[in-house]
Amino acid sequence: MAAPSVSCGAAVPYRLFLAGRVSFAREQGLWKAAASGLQTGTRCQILRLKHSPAVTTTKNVAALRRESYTVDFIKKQIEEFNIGKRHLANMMGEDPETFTQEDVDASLSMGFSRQEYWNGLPCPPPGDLPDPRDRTQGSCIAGRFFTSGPAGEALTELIHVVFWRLLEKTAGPYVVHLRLGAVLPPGGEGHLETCRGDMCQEHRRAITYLFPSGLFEKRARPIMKHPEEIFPKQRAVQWGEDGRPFHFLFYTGKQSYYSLMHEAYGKVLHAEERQDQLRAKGLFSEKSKSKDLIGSRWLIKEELEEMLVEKLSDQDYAQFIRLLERLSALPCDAAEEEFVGRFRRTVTVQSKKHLIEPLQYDEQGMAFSTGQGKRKTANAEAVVYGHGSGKIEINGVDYLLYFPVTQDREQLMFPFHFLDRLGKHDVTCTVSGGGRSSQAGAIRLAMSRALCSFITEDEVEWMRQAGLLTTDPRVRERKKPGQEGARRKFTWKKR
Amino acid sequence: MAAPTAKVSRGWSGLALGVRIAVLRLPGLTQVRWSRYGPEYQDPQIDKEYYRKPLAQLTEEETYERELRKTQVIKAAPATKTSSVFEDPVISKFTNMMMKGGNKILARSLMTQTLEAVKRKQFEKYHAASAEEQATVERNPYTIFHQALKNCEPVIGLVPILKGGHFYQVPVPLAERRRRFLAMKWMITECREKKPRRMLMPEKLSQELLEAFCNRGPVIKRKHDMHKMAEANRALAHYRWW
Repeated sequence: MAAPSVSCGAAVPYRLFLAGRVSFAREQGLWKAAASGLQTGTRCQILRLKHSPAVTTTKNVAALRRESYTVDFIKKQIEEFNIGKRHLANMMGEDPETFTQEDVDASLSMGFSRQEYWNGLPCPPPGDLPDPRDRTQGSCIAGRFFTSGPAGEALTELIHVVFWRLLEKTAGPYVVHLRLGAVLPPGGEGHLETCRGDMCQEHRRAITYLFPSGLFEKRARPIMKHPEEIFPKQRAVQWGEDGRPFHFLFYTGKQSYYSLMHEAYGKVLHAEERQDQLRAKGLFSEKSKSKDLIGSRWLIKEELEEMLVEKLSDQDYAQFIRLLERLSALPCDAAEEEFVGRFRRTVTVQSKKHLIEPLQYDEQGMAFSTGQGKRKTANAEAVVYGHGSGKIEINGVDYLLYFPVTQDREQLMFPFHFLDRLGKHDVTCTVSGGGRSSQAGAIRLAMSRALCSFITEDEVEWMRQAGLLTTDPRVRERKKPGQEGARRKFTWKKR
Repeated sequence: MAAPTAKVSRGWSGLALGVRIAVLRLPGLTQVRWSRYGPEYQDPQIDKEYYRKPLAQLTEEETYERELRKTQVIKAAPATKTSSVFEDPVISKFTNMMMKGGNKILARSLMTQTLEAVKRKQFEKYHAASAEEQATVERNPYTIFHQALKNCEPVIGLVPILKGGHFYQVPVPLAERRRRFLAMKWMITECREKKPRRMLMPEKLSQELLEAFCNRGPVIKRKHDMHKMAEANRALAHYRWW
């Protein structure tokens, strides 16, 4: 069964390559036997290191030059990606047709840390692995064959796993050979045994084991994405063999942008003409703003640049948006709406991002809810009870004694007063760190979050708009060298 | 922290929605004011009544604004602001201006003592007055405070403009916030400097507030002086180019 093609880091082509220094001549029987098929055909192709080290001391001119990929290369990558996706789908037991990118990502990053993984897995050291051809009953073994270097190093050895398992239901061990990229020789598939369709716990563990997401360096984690997302978009050659450019606006320097502007302006003229005709006929009516002005936004300059694969200036972008606004203000037909819609992106509704905890109940049946809050270096945790008389207890002390300053007590009252629930809840909270004002702010945030469980969604949105549910990101600014404080400079002396 | 320097104008109908707009960066210049909040963060709306208003009563503009706010990220409410009815933005601003070295507790206590002193004096006056005059005596310290500061606000100010190697004091109309600031500043400076040695700040400040309320006193005089100077220099008004 062929393996999926996986990728490490965004800059590295998605095919995994071996480091040059890794020798295939490992004396472990496992290696030799199992990899024999792979070795012969693939040795020369795999032994190429592609990794970007974290620190470059000398200027690597070759690396800094933007790498250009040919169209054929990209096409080949796309084909291989699709094949690899189908293989992964087969391994996972899913239907290859409906295997989406989310499933790919889910299989590649199961999300539990390395330490948990290592503790849980009964894996012997690599040297003890039995011969793969041995079909005797064995325990669940998986050998790890790639070095986990310090953060920043990519995988440097060929991943080759022999995975044994004895299933209760289906007899016989499985041998899973993972192929990386298209390096498998034509004859090599014969000795590979395909994995059974039913994806189970051990298979998932195998994939997580193979592509561990516990790596600290994010760029080292394997990603399997469509090559369109990995390789930067590049422009094809803009002129023919005679040197004559294809596009009539080539010599403007920004042909896509200007052709887009021409198109948009053409549509504006068309719409204005139509509007004049309607006015002449007397059928003109005020355009109702049916477009969802709030749920969407114009795309930003970076997005437009990405779309056109061209560098734009701020003025260009502003001009374009102005033209689009002008177009959208006129009565448009479906084609023009669609044209404008291409340049709008949806905006998320912020309140949906909050997860409201359900109410919990203690032994007496009293409803309560907990919340946590932070402000500067203060951390607070508040437990708000459903029924009460407005008592607030902080670290075992009444709030009147804990906060002698009125301003802090006002902050504690703020969420309750805002929701008109002043005397209706009891609060017990613990707070540590920070000063008096930051402790008060932390408790306020914790209480607001806890209160979210007791109130309606509308009220949660009101609290969010009142600024009660946002963690204050302001922290103390560091002192800089050459200055007396964060901002204050030393006294200026003329001499 | 200081607010970011760039502000997006209302002209962009959909542009400002949820988008971090980079401030125009000129070569050779670095930003010196920044905020922990990104430019897309909006100020919180703390007024309770704003939310309690039923949807049927909202105008189109207000409904649009409500919908817009649902998509925006909001900053955290500052520690000095609450939805309490006792909170007054003018009082808070004045307290902050009176504060020295970050001692908000002291500044706030001075403010409350001032208001209490104003109230006491007015009540004494009220009880000492006859029945007809009692109607005219204003006892609410907050109205006295607001009215006093309003009376102290100058209408026109002077700005030094460099022309031909000399600085001329040119009369210039002042913005609303500048006027409020000048009124408060003059009040505080007056109370700090011209105070008798043993007199406490609340007492002096309450005295000045009551005098300003009646359009008397040194702060009002300073305002009139400013106006006279502006009137005297009105020949230089054409030096202003904005």
